[in-house]
Amino acid sequence: MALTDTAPPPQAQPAPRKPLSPAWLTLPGLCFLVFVLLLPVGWLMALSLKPSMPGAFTMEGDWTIANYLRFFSQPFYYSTLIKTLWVSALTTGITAVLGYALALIIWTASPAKRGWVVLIVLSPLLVSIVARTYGWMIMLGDRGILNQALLGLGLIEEPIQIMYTAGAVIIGLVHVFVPFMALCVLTSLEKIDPKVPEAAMTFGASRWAVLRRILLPLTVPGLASGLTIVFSLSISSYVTPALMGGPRSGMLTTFIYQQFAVTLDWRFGAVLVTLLLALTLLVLTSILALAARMTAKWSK
Amino acid sequence: MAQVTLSRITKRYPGSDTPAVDDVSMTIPKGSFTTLLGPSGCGKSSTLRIVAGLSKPDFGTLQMDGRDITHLSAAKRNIGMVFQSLALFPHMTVAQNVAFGLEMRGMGRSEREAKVARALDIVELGHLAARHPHQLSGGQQQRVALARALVVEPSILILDEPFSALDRKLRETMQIELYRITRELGITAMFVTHDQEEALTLSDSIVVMNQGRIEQQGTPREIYGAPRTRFTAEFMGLSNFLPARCSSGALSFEGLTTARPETLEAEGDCTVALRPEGLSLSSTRPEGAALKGHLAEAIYQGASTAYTLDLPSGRRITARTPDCGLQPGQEAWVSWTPGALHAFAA
Ligand SMILES: Nc1ncnc2c1ncn2[C@@H]1O[C@H](COP(=O)(O)OP(=O)(O)O)[C@@H](O)[C@H]1O
Ligand SMILES: [Mg+2]
Repeated sequence: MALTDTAPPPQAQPAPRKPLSPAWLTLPGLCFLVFVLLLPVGWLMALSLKPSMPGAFTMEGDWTIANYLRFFSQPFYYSTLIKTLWVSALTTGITAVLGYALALIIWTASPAKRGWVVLIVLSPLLVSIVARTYGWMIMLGDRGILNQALLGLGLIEEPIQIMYTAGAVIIGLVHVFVPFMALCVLTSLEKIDPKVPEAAMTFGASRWAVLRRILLPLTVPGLASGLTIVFSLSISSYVTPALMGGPRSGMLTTFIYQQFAVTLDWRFGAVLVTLLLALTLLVLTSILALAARMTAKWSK
Repeated sequence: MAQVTLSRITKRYPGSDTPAVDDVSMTIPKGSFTTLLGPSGCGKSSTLRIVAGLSKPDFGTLQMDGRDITHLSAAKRNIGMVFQSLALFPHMTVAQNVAFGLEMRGMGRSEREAKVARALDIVELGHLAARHPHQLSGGQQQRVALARALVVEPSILILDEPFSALDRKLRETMQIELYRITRELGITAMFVTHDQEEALTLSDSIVVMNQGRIEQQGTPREIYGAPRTRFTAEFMGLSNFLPARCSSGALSFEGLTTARPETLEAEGDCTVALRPEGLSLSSTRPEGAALKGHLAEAIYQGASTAYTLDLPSGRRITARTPDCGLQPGQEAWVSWTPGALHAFAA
């Protein structure tokens, strides 16, 4: 009894504090995103709904969709949108094929060779974009190495114009974007048990059948991330179209630059930015939704 | 079904000094179940991969029903393979997995569906045909892999440690099923395992491998009952190795001379092995051949007790018998049933 009397009274436990949800950890990132991305973009979108007025950067004036009507009523304007779209789509498509092939080469290379292949694949990213672009100009110009070679071989009578065409832009973009695609696909390939394609072979599948029936479906997730990355990089690229497509590249990004820096018509420029953004989001969500549907049944 | 013959197959991986498969020759007769048995790393999978066409031998030839298939691609060998990791196609349903081989053979849809249904019935998985592999238990995935390999009516069924990931009970069930299915369908099978019990249970013929070479081949009875090398003996659960000498009619070891076993081929120095389960102990001298020793340890293990006996030579032997009441410290005689003693060249 005495013991219980002298025992210290049980200390009142402080009420257990409710642990903070881990979601709060995203707060700094969210603040950053709001300030550097959402605010400026939102502001630009709002600006696109004000009457066009060169030199005006502020919000005065009535709300109007006149800028959008102007864009879609002039073939000169909306053709940039169409051209941007097909150049980006073609770039993405070619990059996908080349990137996939490279990923397969890396995946099947022996560990000793693998490092070298990866280094070669990444090499376009090791050179500054400007240097790389001028390198292509040396290759592809009217008096460039390619034309000289073709002339020398007698295959052509006079130089073919490659520089300052959509073709040059696509070549320049594909060159840089292939590593992104290859690495995305490789991530998916690495998740495949190497015995799975072997099993397919033992059941009579040709190499082509293994690719089409086994590897392609299993790499849909990597392919989808590669496609979204390359498409958004293509559609928003500026330096390569500006240098290799020439001043009249007809791409939306160079057109946007002119509005903001040359004609100073920010409000019309904001229309272009909004359309570019809307188009990109539409394409990206379609790709991702399609990929999710294709893998829903089996991906864990 | 087909007969498969390996002749002097040799394979060395780049960067390795010793060959993974070293001069391996064997014949797998039509309809026979042949097992490659050996410890991990002895070259079993490498041999299977060569038979499957997934890897090329550096030397040697491979024949199927007398036709040279050494350079034929895996896709054209008409094999059915079950991989250790199963390698099911994760993006296909059970039915699509099983149908894959038939599809690659260009079989029409209705015929394909009938065959898939029959194959799934054989492995009792018909009700799960629409599931994806990740929705199945380990044992069910195993059956899908088996059905996928059987449905193509392969010339040879190849299985690389297919049951090693299963728990003991499931493994035994699958072994019995595999036995039943292969015998009912008369399948030629090449099976790989490192588990001697599994090999004894399933096989018509066992090929014991060690460091890329064939150590011994024969029926389960021959391999278990008459191991010809110490390696095979150890792998078949023999222990208690004692140095011995053999002459024309007799075998002598530990001061004892007995009749020479018929299976012994050596002359001069050899080794005797005594199976622990075939030994019995007594405190008095039994009739026939026996060794006397000093009981050092008795470890109770339920169904049996493991007795360790120190022989006068200083060597130790272990006997595993039902408890016989002897205590450590006592003198004891150890004798053996005829099948428990094996002898082979040292
Ligand atoms: N692709 C490979 N490259 C190099 N060495 C290998 C390769 N595959 C197996 N080996 C080596 O060959 C030997 C035999 O391997 P394996 O045939 O897989 O043995 P098991 O199937 O009997 O365990 C091992 O020493 C292993 O390390
Ligand atoms: Mg193995």
